[in-house]
Amino acid sequence: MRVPMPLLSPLSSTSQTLLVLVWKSLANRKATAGLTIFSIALSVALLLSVERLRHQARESFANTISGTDLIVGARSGQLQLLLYSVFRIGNATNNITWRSYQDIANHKAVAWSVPISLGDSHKGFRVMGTTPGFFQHYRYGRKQPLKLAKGKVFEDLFDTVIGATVARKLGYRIGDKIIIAHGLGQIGITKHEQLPFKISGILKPTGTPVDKTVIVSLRAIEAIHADWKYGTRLPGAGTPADELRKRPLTPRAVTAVLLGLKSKLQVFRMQRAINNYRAEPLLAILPGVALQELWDLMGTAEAALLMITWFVVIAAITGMLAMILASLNERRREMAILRANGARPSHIVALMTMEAGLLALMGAIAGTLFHYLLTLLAQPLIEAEFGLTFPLTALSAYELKLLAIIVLSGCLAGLYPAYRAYRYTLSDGMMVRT
Amino acid sequence: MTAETTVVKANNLRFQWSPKEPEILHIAELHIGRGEHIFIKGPSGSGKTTLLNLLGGILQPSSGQITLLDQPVSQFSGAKRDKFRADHIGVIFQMFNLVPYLSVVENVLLPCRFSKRRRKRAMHRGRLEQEARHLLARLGLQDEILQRRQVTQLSQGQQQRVAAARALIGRPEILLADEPTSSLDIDVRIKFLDLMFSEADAAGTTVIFVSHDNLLQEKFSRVIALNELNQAARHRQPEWG
Ligand SMILES: Nc1ncnc2c1ncn2[C@@H]1O[C@H](COP(=O)(O)OP(=O)(O)O)[C@@H](O)[C@H]1O
Ligand SMILES: [Mg+2]
Repeated sequence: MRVPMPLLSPLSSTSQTLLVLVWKSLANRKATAGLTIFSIALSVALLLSVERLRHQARESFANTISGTDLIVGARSGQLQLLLYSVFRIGNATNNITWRSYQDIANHKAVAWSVPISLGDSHKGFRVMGTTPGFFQHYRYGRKQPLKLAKGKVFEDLFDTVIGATVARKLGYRIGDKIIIAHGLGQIGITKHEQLPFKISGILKPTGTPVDKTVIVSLRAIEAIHADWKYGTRLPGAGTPADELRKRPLTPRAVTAVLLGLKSKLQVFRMQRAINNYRAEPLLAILPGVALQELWDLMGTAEAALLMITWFVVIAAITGMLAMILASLNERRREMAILRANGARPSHIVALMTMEAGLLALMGAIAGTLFHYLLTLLAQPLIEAEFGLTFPLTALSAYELKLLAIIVLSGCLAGLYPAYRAYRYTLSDGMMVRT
Repeated sequence: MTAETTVVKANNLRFQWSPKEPEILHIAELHIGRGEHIFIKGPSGSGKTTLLNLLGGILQPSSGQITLLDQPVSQFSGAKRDKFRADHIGVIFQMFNLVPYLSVVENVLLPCRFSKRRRKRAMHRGRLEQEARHLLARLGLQDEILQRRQVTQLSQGQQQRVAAARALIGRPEILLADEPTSSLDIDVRIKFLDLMFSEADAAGTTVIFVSHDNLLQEKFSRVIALNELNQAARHRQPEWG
């Protein structure tokens, strides 16, 4: 029944006495105290997890694309270009002609360029045509390159490399044949079924939209549209695959271009040069800046989530307050006994404040453990689903500050029942009327 | 009675709960000597508990002085009175004296937690716990198992004896007992008093015992009728009878 806590050594200080009294009193109310701690712990775990998730999400979001100095597309909005070129959300209103692409790629400031062509899909996943340079130059996170989990980058015209999510969701393996659909819908759309692609490689998860992309060569995009004009297939039998393999298949246009410059110092000058390109209206954006703008747009939702979490914390502390206040009346006599045996009113105040503080502290500690447990359990899931890495790192100074704030507000909340108890001890004296 | 053997002195003591309410106590003079066993009797509502609260320094008199152990306690600050009480006064209530979540021994040792003086005086035999057990044994609670039992599982009589041990640990000079026997059976009352007195005498403690139970009064060295002592009671109809 009793929670073991050693009897005080004879020379212990009064505050130690009070702490033991608080401890034993709480141990005597195990059920309510336990539930209170549990609810605080849940809120703390939620807060820590949301904070970490938020932080991780922001980090990974900001690093969806790294190492690319400029993204170029037809003139539209900065966000629109970012959304379709990097996140595969929405569509390009216009393409970049191959001529323009060549001009840009051959600019003296350009170190590398990767053209991408979007517009087709496979079972809901976007198909992206690009050059092998994509695998070489695309970077995410802290300049991490794409890595193949299995297989190799495409060699044949009808080879494809698929992202980790595509492989997992559709259960694809190396060597599987897939059909690419024309356009982005899923039902009632025409398919390029006479030209199946063979999966040659599967990428490792990156936590970026690459995971949800089916990557083919730029020439392949050209090849599957060889018999198409103005968005419809030309009547008659399609050109056979072997025939297509022999053609040069130079694209007429691309959707966007990723650029790496020889020197970072040239980014703004290059951006200006592209934006002022005469032959057609183009737009060059700095991925970092555009990502920041996008994140800021989503910031409200993020702030709302954090606010809700804090409300949960406040609710838990209020619950604790209610628990202590409810216990106060039946403990009136206990206070009078303590007072008659030498406790001062200030001791009674300390007792109540310490009780609240101790509950909050235990809640914070249990909550931290919950959070780690949760992280441990959810880690594989989150990593697989969102590509967010969730390392089990020690609490940061910021997180410790959050915990300190919670424990401190617990103590502060304890001041109210402490004040009530103080009033009781003054009015009851040392003899409570029964 | 010389000054040094006078433990309690009250002069012109007046008390009212608030200026609007009638005066409850007006005691011209009360002297209690060292080692006395005082029985203060009075009907319910006559102000016995209030008087003990005044003597214990929990309540402050509206006017007049209280001197305990030659110290002007009623002129002390609140904190100083608290310390004085912790150091020199043991208290027993009518019932429910014990902190439910502390063991028997821990309950007995409670005053030693708040008063260094009582802790020191309780340690003359060695360990504090030993002193607590010794006192409990002298009060008829020698049973080891009993001492380890949850206090809420003890009988009323046993609880009051634990309370007596607590009030007497560290040999305080004054014991204030607020009807400690009224929750006990008649035959247990006498036995409780005898045990309490012998321990109080051993500790040199003056016993101030209030009760409306006149049956016990012949056990005491002096009996004071509160309504005779209290001049405020003369203008007032007693609540009972
Ligand atoms: N906290 C209080 N506030 C106002 N009046 C009180 C308070 N406590 C007791 N009284 C009043 O003081 C009087 C004396 O009470 P008390 O000392 O408890 O009597 P007794 O202990 O002899 O039964 C009673 O009339 C009681 O109603
Ligand atoms: Mg009373």
